[in-house]
Formats: sequence, C-alpha cells, structure tokens
Amino acid sequence: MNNKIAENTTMDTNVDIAVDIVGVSKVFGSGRTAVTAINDVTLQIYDNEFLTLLGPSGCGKTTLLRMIAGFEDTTHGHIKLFDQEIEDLPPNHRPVNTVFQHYALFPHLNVYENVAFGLRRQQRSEAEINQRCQEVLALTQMEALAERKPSQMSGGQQQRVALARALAPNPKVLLLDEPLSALDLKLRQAMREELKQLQQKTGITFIFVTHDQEEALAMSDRIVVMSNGEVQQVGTPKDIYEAPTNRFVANFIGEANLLPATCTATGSMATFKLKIGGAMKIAAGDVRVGDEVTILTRPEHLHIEPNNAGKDSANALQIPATVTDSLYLGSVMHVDIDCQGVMLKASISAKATSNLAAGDAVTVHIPIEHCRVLPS
Amino acid sequence: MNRAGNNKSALERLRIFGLVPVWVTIGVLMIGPLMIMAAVSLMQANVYGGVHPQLDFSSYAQILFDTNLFDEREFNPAYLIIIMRSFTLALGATFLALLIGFPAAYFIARQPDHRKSLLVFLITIPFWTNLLVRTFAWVIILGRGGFMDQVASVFGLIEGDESINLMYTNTAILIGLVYSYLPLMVLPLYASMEKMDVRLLEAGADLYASRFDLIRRIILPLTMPGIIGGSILVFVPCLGAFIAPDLLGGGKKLMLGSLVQLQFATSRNWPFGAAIAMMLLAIVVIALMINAKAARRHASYEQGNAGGAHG
Repeated sequence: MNNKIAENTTMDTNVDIAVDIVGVSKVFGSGRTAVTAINDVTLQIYDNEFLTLLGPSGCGKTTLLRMIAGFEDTTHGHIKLFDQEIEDLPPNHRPVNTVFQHYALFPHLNVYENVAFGLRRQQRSEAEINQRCQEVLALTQMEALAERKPSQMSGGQQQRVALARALAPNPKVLLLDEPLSALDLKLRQAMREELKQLQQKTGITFIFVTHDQEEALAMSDRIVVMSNGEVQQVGTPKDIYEAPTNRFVANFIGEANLLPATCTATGSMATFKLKIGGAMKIAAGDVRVGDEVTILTRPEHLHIEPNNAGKDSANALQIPATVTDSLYLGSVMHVDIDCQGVMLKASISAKATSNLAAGDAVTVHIPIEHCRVLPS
Repeated sequence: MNRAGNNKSALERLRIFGLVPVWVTIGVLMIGPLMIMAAVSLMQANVYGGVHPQLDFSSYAQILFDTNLFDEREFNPAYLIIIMRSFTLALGATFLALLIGFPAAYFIARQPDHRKSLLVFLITIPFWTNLLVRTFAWVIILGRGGFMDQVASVFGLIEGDESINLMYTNTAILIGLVYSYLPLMVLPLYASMEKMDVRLLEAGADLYASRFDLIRRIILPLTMPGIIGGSILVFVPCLGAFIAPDLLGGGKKLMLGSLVQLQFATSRNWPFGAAIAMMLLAIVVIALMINAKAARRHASYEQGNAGGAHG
C-alpha cells in the first residue's frame, strides 16, 4: 500500500532490520465470534530507531507489540528479530523486554530486586548484576530509592523503575506499551524528552505504543499509524503530518479541514472543483476526471480577512464564510467558520486579527500550496 | 445545658444497652464456656461423669505421667504417641491439601468469571452434606472389596478375595482428613490468587523467568497469605478431628480429637478431656499467632503507603 513509498524515502541503504514483520495477522476466537485484531501487517523496524505505533484504542497496536514480545502468537505471517525467526520462542527466550502500561512491578520486591529480576534469571554473576543495576538506576535517576517497595512510590517513580527493569538485561529491542498514559500531563511531557534521550544514549531500538498523537510526533523517528488492525501509513512525524495518505491519518494526526471536491482535469497538475465553490490546480497522483476526492488543509494555513478587505491572490482560494465561534488562547486564536455549509477550523495569530466574533462575515483564504489531495 | 447533659447520659445508657448482644456473644457464648472448660480441667473426676469441685492439676500431669501401684509418678508415652500421631497426620494432611489445593486454586483463579463462580460453588458443595456421611463414603471406597480393591484387581495388583488393606491405617485417616478439609485450603488460596495481578506473570516471563521461576519467585510469595491461612484452616481442625480417625482408623489409631471425645463420652474423665482440649487450644493459639505475624509482614507491601516517606 502507500506505506511502501513512505518507507523508501526514509530507508538508508545500510541499516539493520531489528524487527521484520511479514504478512502478520492475528485472529482472536474462531467461527462466528472470530475477531481480526491484526490484518496482514508488513513492517520493518530498523535497528536503533524510535518507532511509534500510533492509533486509536482497538486498532491492534498493543496486539502487535504483544506478538513481538511473545504474549500472543501470530495467526498468519512471520516475525523475525535480527534475522532470527522468533514465532516458536516463548517470551522468556526472546531478547526483548517490555515496559508495561501499568508498570507491573513485583510488589513483594524492592526497587533493586525488581531491576535485578531479569539479570538473575539470566544467571549473571552477583558482581555483574550489581554493576548493571547501578547503571540503569543511575540512568533513570532512581539510585536513591533502591530499597523502596513499589507501593511506597509515586506513579512517576514506578514508571522509572519499570523502565530501569526493562533496560537492565540490555535487550536488543525495548517494547513500551503506553508507558506514559497513567502519568499526569506535566510528568508525561517531561518523560517524553527523557525517553527520547534514553533511546539515543542506549542505542536500543524502542517500539513505543501510544494513542497520543502529540507524544508520537514529539518522540518518534518514524510513526506507524494504525487503524482497524491495518497499517495506514508509515513515515517520519513530518511526513505523517504534512503528507498524510488518507483521510484517517489526516484526521487522527492534528486538526484537519477536509473539503470534498471533484476532479475536472488531469495532468501533472490536476484541477479540482470544490463543493464550497472555486477550483484549484494541485499535484495529485493517480486521479481520473470525475473522481470524488478530499482536499486537506490544516487550520494554521487558513487566513481570515474581514469581508471588505479582500485582496486578490492567485495562490489562494477565497471563499466567503461566517464566523460561528472564536476562542482566544493567548498566542493563537481558534476560529470556527461556516464556509458554504462546511465547518472549517482556523488557527490564526491572535496579534494579526482584530476581534472576530460569532456572526461576522469574513473571507477565508485557502493557500493552494498547503492543500493536499486525499482519496475520498 | 442541663437538658443537653441529660440527653447525653441517656444516649450513653442507650449505647451501653445497645452493646448488650455483643457482650452476651463474647462473654456468655465464647469466654464463658472456655472458662468452664478451663475450670473443669483443674478439678477431680467423678466416677460416674461430671466433676468433683476440688483443685487438682493431675489431669495435666496425666498427659505425660501415670501413677503406678506404689503411687509413684511414671512416664507414660501413650498419650504423647497420640499427640505425635495427631501432629504428624495433621501436618501431613495440611501438606497434601496444599499440594492438591494449590494447582486447583490456581486453575480456578485463571478461568473466565462465570466459570470461576461455578467452580467455587462446586468446591463448597461438600459442606452441605454431613461430614459423617461423607467420611463413611470413604469406608466403602477403601474397604474390603471396595472401589480401591476393584481398581487394584483390574491392574492385577491383587487377586481374588485379597484386599490392599487400606482401611484402619494411618493412610486411610490421612485420606479422610485431606478429603474433609481440602475446600478449606482451596478457598483462601483461590482468594489470594484471584487478587494477584496476572500481568505480573507476563512481566516475569518477559524478564526471562521460566515457568518454575514464575511459581517460585512470583506466585508463591504473592499468595503466601492464602497459603498460611489455608494451612491453618486445615491444620487446626485436623488436629482435633475424630470422625476420620474413628471411621477410617477404626478407633484404634487415636488422635487428639478422638481422645477428647473418648474422655467425655466413654471414660467419664471430664477433667482429663478438658485438659487435652486446653492443650489443643494452646497449640491453635500459637498457630494463629504465627499466622498473624506472617500476615503483618505481608501487609507492608499489600496495603503499602502511597508516596510514603519511610523506606
């Protein structure tokens, strides 16, 4: 699908593939109650990258992670870890470690013993265990609390211990299952930074599952957007935000204005006639005359002018509209506008505008260079 | 002011009155009988049953010593043997019940919710039938020509009229005890296993723990309160059991419970029976104290103190 293109643009020629997922499907149950959680996913995860599986709840991202960890088997397809087939390996024989959503720290063991758990199971020497524990506790800034029991710590501290515990055996791949979702906003934002730095410092491949698009954009080298058990798009945060390949991705990542349109002429620049009026010429891939498409514009690209101050421009479409709501947020202003029956969102610099109030008649400028064609 | 004071004392009177059922229950129904028992154990036996109200410690001495013809005290191991047998059988039954109950409880705890409640219900069903009847069923199973003999002859272990002679042995008593008190082991084990977060097992497996490691390093320590609770619930009644030793041990292999029953019913030596009962009570109290201590140690991480300042 579309993800092939996106992959090619970011793939270096000499990068090792850490996890190779080929045609993997997962079906829970059987017969009439069968539910397909993962549908024919093919994905290559490179060594030393921070990859995020992003999607709404129930999209299969956690199932995919659990299949890599070994908690779920694959119904179809193969998963390879550094060229090694791992389907038949139980979780305790896979060189990957997981940071669980609710940490799953062992309540009867203190922080040190929690961190040492994996190392002890690997029969490492006491000196080595001690050294490695100190290392990861220092890395996660938890040295001072080594003697504490999990119940004596805050959520943020428990989160760090879970991270230290998973890093201690020095896995080839670290799986993170929404590890920040239980933290409050401030802590979550601080941890984003820290996780990203940790990944760069350790050089371990991070596979991070989240439903929070902001988190994904902030931390990832690449994002895999999933929905209904299928990969919708793979790409860098910039790719995903600026060049979404379909309506789902456009809507899920950031705010999107989706304008219905029809193709009226093809060529290197195709012409599209918008339902709200006007037409624009933009580069589009595979479209035919008469195709129904969706034109995407982001709220920050729209300009709003008072009705009487319209200045013509060849680069932007100008459509009369009415303000229905405006929200002043300090640096920016969010304006909802009714544009010929289609509701649009605009995010404009608060300085640049005089007061916009509900009911004001305005002109919306849609800059063509920031418009993208999506299949309907 | 005055009225308020009157109201207050009226309220207090009401409160004292309201507590009467509590004091009746604790005092008359629990402490009272115990005191009577303790008193009886310190009196002299009446030949035709009952007691002669005179202070006498000989009942306690009788547990270890006998008085011979020359009125001298002589060490008599007969009751000590019964005590040791009771202990051994009770410990054995507890251990076997744990061995059977642990996987059973784990199995139930891992079932889907609707099946869980059904299985727990099935575990409690035997309690609805009289213990005597249920123990007698084992007489039929273990007895000559019974189910066990039939199974043994199918496998060619015995021939014709032979029997594997399980009846009236310590083994038969042990089987009876384990059977009688197994539910008391399964239920507390189930309760603590159900509480255990299954995700911890995934975390363990993720950190290279084998199945054996998971049991030893995670399940066992986390279900310790259930193990201790269940063990006490089985050990205590086994120590005082008298139905199983009577029916399956043929009344020849006495246990402490049978001994007490014998003293009150047949031998008409109430003080001696009471003395043994008091000794049993002491053992039970010690067992409960060990339990309480273990539970306290466990509580330190079960309840925890979120963000606590002490480490």
